Amino acid sequence: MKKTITALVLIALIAVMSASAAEAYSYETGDQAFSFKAGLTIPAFIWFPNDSTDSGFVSGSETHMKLGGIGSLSYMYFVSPKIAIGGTLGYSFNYSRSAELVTEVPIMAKASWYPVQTGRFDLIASLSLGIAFTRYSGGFYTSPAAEIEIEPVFYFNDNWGIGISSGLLGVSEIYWKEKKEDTSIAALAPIKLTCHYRH
Amino acid sequence: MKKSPIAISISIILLCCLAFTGCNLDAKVGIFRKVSTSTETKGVRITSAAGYDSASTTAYFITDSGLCKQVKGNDDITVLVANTETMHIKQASFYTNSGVQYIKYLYQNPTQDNQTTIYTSTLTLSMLTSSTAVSTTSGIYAGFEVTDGGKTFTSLQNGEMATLTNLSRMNKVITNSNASSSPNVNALLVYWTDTSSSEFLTLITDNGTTVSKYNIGYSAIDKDIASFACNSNAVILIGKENSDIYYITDITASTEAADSNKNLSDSFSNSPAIGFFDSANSVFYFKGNDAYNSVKWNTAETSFTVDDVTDGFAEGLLESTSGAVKIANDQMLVFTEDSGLFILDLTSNSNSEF
Repeated sequence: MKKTITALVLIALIAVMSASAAEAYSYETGDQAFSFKAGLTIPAFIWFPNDSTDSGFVSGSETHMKLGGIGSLSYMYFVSPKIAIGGTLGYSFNYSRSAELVTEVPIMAKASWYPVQTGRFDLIASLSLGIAFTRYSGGFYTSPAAEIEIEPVFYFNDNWGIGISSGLLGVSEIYWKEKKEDTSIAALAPIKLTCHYRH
Repeated sequence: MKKSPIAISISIILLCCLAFTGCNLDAKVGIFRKVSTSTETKGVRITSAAGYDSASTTAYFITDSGLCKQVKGNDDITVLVANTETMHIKQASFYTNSGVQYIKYLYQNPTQDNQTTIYTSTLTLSMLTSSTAVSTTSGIYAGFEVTDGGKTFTSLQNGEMATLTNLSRMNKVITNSNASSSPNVNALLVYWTDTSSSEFLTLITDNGTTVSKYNIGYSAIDKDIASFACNSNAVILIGKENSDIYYITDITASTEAADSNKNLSDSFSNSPAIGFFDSANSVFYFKGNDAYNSVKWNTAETSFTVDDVTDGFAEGLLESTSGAVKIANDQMLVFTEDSGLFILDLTSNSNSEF
């Protein structure tokens, strides 16, 4: 965690320093941005809100999921100099204690806010809403999913940049009647390296 | 041009909504429930149960490594007979004869072109030595033995013989046992074909003193049975295709199976045939693909109450199960495929590692 914070601070400092030497890039309505992200997912929690036997909340290793991986592609379109909307397609995997693979394929609409823009450095906060296709041990489920994300990005030139993102990816399962106790929200904390292209 | 990305986003959202309406709700247990109750893999894959010795509290089973044993309270799995390039153990059964303990096992040589040749070895446990011969035995099932050449079907347990005459082909064999002491019935359900191509569904029961054979009348049911459980007289059968519940009220009076017109919601399409009867609570249990399933039978009204069991004794044991044997009154020993051995305690409705 300490290393992550250090890396974020370094990226921010480099961005600020380089911003003074370069002609500032400024976003306009109609600009577009593409990004590719890859990284790790840390199991955060699983919450069963209808669980009658106990609190229904398990976190960390109690989720019985292990450290996993994630990758995603995003496309964003600027509807104002600070707001972009678009979509993202991802894939994540984690192993359970029984060594079986939990996979999720989220497809989400995404809205991003760029509160800090220096030309060489962007700080991006995003909210994604959509669905996720979850598969595990022969079971398959399609359900609502959401992700919140914060992402500092350093640009080498006007178009290409790298960054690091972190946040929370939540996937739900919704059941009724006798299975309602299995209604759940599972959250992963992804940490991703990102590659951006804008124009 | 400026509107197209917005249109794309709206389309994505609409697709999301459309896909959500197509949710797969067939799963018996929620996916994340299954994940959060998954148990640690033991690093060995158990393919079938071979038996349990109550005197030494030792379980015998077959893994990808060969014939193995595990003593209760000890995590170590000992390989008694290792698979080799020329020997793959397929089935095994523990038994005692004149006070001496043996395991009889079948194996094949995968390097031979004709892999249908079956060898039988008898491992004397006190000496850990095996004697091997090309076998006339084509199957060993929970103490029952099927002899090749297709003429006889014998019980190893008490020397009594139940004969399937003119046996041509064993299509399917399912075994089970009761969880409770009374009545103590081990049973075998055999779907077989005779030499004139007639098909039979035969139930063979062993209550410790008597072996009985019943040809089940299946005109009203699907003979492709996935699982079954019985007590002294009553039998519940689960159809493979739709998990239909069939029943025979008193097999000593009539062997005709009837359709209850009810079915379990779990799938039995690829599950092993784990079924047992808990006479203390008068409940039949069947392990499906996703959960344990209970069937309570009101015989007076011929009505059935079905439910799925995902907690209590089933907590954390929802993954594939390779076999189950009774080890004590109201206790079943379950051999999970990847997570080792567990004891189901039906009295306390809990489970524990073996």
